Amino acid sequence: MKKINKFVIGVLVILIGVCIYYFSYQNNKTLFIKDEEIQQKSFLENKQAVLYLSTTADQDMDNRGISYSIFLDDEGKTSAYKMKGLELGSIAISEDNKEVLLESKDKIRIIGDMYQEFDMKNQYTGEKTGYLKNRDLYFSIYNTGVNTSTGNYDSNVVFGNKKGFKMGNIPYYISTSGINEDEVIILTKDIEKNQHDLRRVIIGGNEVKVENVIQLENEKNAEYASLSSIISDDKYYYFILSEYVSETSENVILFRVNKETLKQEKITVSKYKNNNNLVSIIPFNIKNSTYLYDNELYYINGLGEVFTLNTKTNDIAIKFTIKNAPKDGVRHNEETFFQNGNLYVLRYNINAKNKYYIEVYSLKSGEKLNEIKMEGLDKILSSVKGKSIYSYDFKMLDLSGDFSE
Amino acid sequence: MKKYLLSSLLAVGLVGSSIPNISFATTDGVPYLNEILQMQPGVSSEELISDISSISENMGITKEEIAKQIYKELKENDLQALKENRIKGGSGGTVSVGNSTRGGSGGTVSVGNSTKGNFFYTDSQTAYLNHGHVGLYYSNNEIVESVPDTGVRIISTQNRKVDQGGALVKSVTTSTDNRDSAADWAYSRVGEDSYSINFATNRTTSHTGAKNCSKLIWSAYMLKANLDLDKDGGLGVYPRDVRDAEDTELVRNI
Repeated sequence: MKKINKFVIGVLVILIGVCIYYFSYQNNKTLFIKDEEIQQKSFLENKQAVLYLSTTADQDMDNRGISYSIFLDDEGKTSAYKMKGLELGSIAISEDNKEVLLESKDKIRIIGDMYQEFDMKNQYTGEKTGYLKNRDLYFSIYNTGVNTSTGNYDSNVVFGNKKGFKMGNIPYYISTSGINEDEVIILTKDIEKNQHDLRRVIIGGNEVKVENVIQLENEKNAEYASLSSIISDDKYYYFILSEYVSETSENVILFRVNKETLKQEKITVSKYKNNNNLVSIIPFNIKNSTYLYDNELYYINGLGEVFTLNTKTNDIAIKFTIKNAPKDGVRHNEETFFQNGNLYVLRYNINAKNKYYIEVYSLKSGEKLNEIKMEGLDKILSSVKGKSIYSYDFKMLDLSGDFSE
Repeated sequence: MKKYLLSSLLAVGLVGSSIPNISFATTDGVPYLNEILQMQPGVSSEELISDISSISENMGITKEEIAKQIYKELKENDLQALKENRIKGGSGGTVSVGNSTRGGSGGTVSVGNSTKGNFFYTDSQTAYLNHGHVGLYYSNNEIVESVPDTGVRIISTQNRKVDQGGALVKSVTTSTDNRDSAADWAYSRVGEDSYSINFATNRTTSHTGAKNCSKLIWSAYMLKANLDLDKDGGLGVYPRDVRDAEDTELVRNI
């Protein structure tokens, strides 16, 4: 009898083990996207957001750096597509939201109506990815490093569309960049001279042309670091830089350059003194920290404070602050994205049922309008073993949900 | 002079070194070859044997002694990594690097601004080994660091993300002129020096030419401030050796 009991218990233990393994395997299987799935024409149809994460370049010593494009579907479930790592890589979306460009260390992929992928020279650090509507061109700029033959700092560029991609080069180290109508605008930095120049990049045909706009005035020889990309309206270019004062003090300055007269203005957004945690003010994502809407420039810093500059009166104010924003500078892949008069914030709460979710704020009122769950993201992230991945871009794809007031 | 320096370094490293008491295989007259290669993923057997032979010839020390020293340093670095991971795993729920991605489930931070000539350290893993990584502040808000394939590169302190806990910023105890000169020298290697995966014998290789992250900072301070930023000497300078070097002082934990 005892022998039979032992046998039954043994079989039960094995069965339970097999079940746990099977369900965990099934569960994990749905969290990851296969090549044939992402290549389907309808892949983007039920997706509402995409998040990009990657290892840093120093982790690619074994050629096993990884990145993930994580898609959020309309039911609030996430799934991840694994690629090779590209630190600071980003995502571009076509004007009609029907195509998404994904980049990795060795490939460009266009997903949507017609999946296509293009091999490219290995890159390790991204800078800017985007879509130039009137030229029907995607582009991606990389922080490539110094060219041993020319001695210049190279920022390689790939550009193209479904017909194919070409390669060009910007012979400068780029501090920040943005899109101005059908051209790319960059702020280059000569590190030895501590000199910043605003330049225009014209991409198209077979080449990448760079034209000087203006050198940044810097009477105090201050050291600047970018806190935003470059955005523009009809009259001005805008970008936000931090001005180094000391280990514990810095100023946040909004630079405004008149497109026609090239007159430069520096507007102080905020000043920090005797602050031992200045990293806490660095935006969740520098590339997505500013936005122009209804004659106001919006800037969200790392404390979740949303500043506005009235572009007519130059008045600056903190319009609202996102709820329970982290104050210690420690990030859990928090991200921001502005679109259609709303601010989308990817949040993390260790105590919530779904640890990751998106909050939607109205820029007009500062009110929180909605919360979108991101089921499964914590499982995807914790499945990564032996590497550290960091979020570098976040974009909403489906903006049909009308949250505006 | 180089020969003299290398001999001194090796002599210091070998004094009192206790060789692990385990059995090992000898390949081409080099003991621990397979063990060393396992701990140095990416370095080829030929490359390693050639390095060991060249050091042996230059210093008049047997290849066996050199291989033992390399193995000992790698093992110590590995054990130190395991020890640090265990400590983190037990404090406040931070997850061990070996078991999970702290960039995913734990916290991450930008390295942030600091003074020219300071450096940051962060955990960094390839294969199974958490070898760590170091980068130097070329200016208050730009890092100069050596990374795989790219070699020496520049990245802004705002964009350079690391795992929170374990990462830190340190200063080097020397004059401002020396710190500035060291940072300038490191920057002068941007575009000149490619990346080398070889940590095992990087103290014995030329200051110019291919190098890894710890060698960049070690060479900069050795050449410009006559400081040896290597905690334990020997043949290889690892990121943790720079982090724990005598002439360094904590600025802040990241």
